[in-house]
Amino acid sequence: MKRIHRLRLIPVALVVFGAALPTAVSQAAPAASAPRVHAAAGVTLRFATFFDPNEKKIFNSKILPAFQKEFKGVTVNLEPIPDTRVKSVTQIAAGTAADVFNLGDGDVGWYADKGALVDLVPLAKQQGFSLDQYLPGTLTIGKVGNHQYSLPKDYSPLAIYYNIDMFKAAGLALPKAGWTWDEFRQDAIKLTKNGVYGASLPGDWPRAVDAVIRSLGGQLDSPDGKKVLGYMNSPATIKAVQFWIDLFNKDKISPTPSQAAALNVGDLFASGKAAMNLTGVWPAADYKTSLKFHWGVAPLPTGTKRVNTICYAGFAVSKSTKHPREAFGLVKYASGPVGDAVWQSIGRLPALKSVIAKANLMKDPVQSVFLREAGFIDLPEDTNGPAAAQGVGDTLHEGLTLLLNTPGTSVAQVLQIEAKKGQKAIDAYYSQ
Amino acid sequence: MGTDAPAVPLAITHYLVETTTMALALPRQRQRMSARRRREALTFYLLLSPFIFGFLTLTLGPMLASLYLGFTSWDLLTPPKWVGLDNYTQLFTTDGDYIQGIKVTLSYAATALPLGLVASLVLAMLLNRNGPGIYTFRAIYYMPSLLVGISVAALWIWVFDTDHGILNQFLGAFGVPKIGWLTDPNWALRSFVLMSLWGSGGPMLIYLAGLKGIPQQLYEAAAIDGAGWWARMRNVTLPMLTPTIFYNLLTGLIGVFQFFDVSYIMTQGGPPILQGDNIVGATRFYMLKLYNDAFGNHAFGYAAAEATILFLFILAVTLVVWRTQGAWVYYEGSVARGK
Repeated sequence: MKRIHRLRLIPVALVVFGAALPTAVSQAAPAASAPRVHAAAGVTLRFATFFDPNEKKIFNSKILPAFQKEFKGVTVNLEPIPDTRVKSVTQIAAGTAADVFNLGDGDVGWYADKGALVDLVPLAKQQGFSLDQYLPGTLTIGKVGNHQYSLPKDYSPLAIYYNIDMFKAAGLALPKAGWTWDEFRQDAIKLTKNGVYGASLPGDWPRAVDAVIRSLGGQLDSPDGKKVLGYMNSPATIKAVQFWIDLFNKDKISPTPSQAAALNVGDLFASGKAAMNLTGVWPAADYKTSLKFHWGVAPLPTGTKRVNTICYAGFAVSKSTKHPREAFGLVKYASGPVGDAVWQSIGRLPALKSVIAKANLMKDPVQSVFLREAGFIDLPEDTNGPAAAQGVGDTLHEGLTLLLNTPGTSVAQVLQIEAKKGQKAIDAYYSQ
Repeated sequence: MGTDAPAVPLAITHYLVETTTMALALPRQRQRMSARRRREALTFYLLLSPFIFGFLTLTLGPMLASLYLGFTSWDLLTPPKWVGLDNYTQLFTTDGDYIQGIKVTLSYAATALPLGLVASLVLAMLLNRNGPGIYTFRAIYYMPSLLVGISVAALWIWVFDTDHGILNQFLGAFGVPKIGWLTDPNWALRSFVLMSLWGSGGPMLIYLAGLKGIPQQLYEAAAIDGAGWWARMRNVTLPMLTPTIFYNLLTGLIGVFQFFDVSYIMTQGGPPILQGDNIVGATRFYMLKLYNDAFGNHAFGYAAAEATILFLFILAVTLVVWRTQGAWVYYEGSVARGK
């Protein structure tokens, strides 16, 4: 009897073993070496991007095949969009939004607040895609509360490029981590001579000035993004903006934007007309191949604290997509290890720790500075909330333009007016 | 720059009104319409149906929708919320930029429109003569008006450039100091007025056609009476040209209040000026403000209210000008002026 019972158990055991085998194998095998294949024949994704021709080519040749290896049978149609303020908005309103689209840094909060975007966190969990692999600072723009609405395509903090030859000729020590805004100013004053400016500064660019204001102890809006009055016109912010405006109108270490345009030489630093340049990682690739002088990159100077900002373009999934799994898959490939490595290969700053390590970028004298600065990224205040682009960004830009073009105008008066305007714009938004 | 001709020729409108009135108000007469007349009316409506369909769906429909949306708060992505007259109240009571938009647009209209009308009339008179190369000259003066919008803005950015622009270099040769044409708040709007002359070729061509249509015997009769240049001009040319002047004035008025693209490209409404306790843009035109409210601030209901006000304003001005024609427009063949 016992023998017969044992024989009967053999087929049962075989069935159980057979059923358990794939699970056991999949758990034992490394996830990276055996990506799951999603059969999704007949699915077509619309991907609205502001890729330039080179990016489009590289996407089609390197990123798309990798995506289609996992998502078999999915077709991707690229659609160009000139900006995300007009075309994407009208497409969403008309119910014809692309499944996946490029998103600029000032728009994520507004789109998310209007319910136009899919939270990527659950989709990432479903597909075993960890967001921890990104440098935390690179996720700030795409994040609202605990929701991640966009993943980075490319980004950059700010830093200072400097002309080593000019610093040495002036007998100045080269800038290094921890240098202050006062040291920057003193160096720039000494370097301003013989038709050369000490620095080329983005005078009316709110994103950069915001970083300077915060490093000098000021603030443009409240942490919840709902108050501008009392922040933009606070004594600390007025003092910081006064410092910034004086660099142009009093110390004259940099041309104002209109003066720079009138010089008609393009990049002042590259043409030897400025000893320093405050900007992002973008010109570094050209500088490496074209500059005839010795140059270096230093972190953003510090004031009362060390703060940096982020300039960013990301990928988001439209709420109206009928294929969220495939759409997130596309974001995963365009922004994740495959895409990030591809964008890095054409000079973009990578956001993934694995790509940074593989390319050994912490040894690169230029990229390593920007990557370290990424550790100090704080959410730019003109992206802090759905109405911050108008309430903070537009008002600060208008105020800075006025102050730079009309020397002698009271910074306190201008910031008082702009703070009121900003508060009005934000109140109007939240009262809707 | 950029004047819009009426969408429907007046003759078609007249015919539409006439046939519709006949069809709706006079059923007995309609019954008595001959078969040939009915066929003609049917053909007329058939041929016009693409326009009527387009006008109803793409013009009248959106206009009515815009009228409704002006009473709502609408961001395009969530349903509109009825706010009554709030948008209109806010525009005139608390929106300093809106008032500035009206001021800038009226200032521009008050200078650019008469200047353009006079300049194109003078050009047309200069070119209304026979001589070697006259056709080439006419083409040269007309061609700029074919280029509009972004390309012209890009070109004039270079012309107005403070340090390298051809205008300052030319003036510099006479010792005139550099002018910040687009960056100086005192000059930015004047620069746009100056630039508006670029589009004088269009009205010029219409004036030229009007001048060519003046019967020569009127000039001959005036010459026999001993009329000099000024007398001929005042008593023959200008009166005979009044229908053309009227047409150019009307289309110019409609266009000048909708000035947008060039300011959007060249100055974005700036440079800013400190005006009392407000900061406003020296070239913040009405349409630029409307566009920024809609696509910059996503306040589409608010922008729709602005659009409605602009429409009513242009309509009122057009009607006023239309009503004045009896006093100064002379139509050849009419028994009395304005008839």
